[in-house]
Amino acid sequence: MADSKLIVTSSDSNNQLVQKTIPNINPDADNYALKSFGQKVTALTDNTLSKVERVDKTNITSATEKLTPLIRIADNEETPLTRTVALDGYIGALEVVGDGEISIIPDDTTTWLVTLRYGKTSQQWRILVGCFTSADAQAAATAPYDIVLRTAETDNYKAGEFRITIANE
Amino acid sequence: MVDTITTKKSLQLTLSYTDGSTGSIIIDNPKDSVAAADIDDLNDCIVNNNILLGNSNSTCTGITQAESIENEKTKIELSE
Repeated sequence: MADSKLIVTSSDSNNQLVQKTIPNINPDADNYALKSFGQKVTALTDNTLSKVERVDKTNITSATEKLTPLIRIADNEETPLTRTVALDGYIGALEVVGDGEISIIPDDTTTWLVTLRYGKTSQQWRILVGCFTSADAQAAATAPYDIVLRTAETDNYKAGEFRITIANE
Repeated sequence: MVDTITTKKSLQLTLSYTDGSTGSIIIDNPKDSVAAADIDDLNDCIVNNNILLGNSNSTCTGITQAESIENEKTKIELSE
């Protein structure tokens, strides 16, 4: 069974938020198609669509299999190491071996919402959510990391470039 | 004394998958004017983009049934 789900948020005639969670979403489904799907589900009601959010399963093995790592840094590489990565839209994954600290710096003034999940096993995973604008999002954490980046304006999955610095301990 | 307090309306969409299994999506409070074209539009989106998966990652072949369901919840006052 698929483990991804879609959360479709809309507002009713009283401006009350209504959330609909749809399970068994294909993890490989295109984000634009998912947004269209959320729009068509909402069109069956009198509600107004607010946002469509995709939630992938929080299992590190599957997450790193499913998402192509933006950068991969091995234990024996010299650090601090800075890479500039282009993120094409919604989700990016980062896999780092070893413990250390991570800094993420966007290249523009967009406000980005960052979800940084870390821990050696899925049981040890912690989730750090930060919202920042042209500032460092930092976390001292235990590798491997898995990082999800999206704009705070959830309907705007724009691409961006980031400088990501990892300093192993 | 019997007092009717709420009526809940929903739209149940039955989905079929390539492995023969079925699933459903339930939409609460659908609009009164849901048309077959609305369901067809959603169906095309699901099938053409392979959005939903079933057991063992089977593929959804489409919406096979759409039913409007009304549930009436009645509160029964108990005697003191």
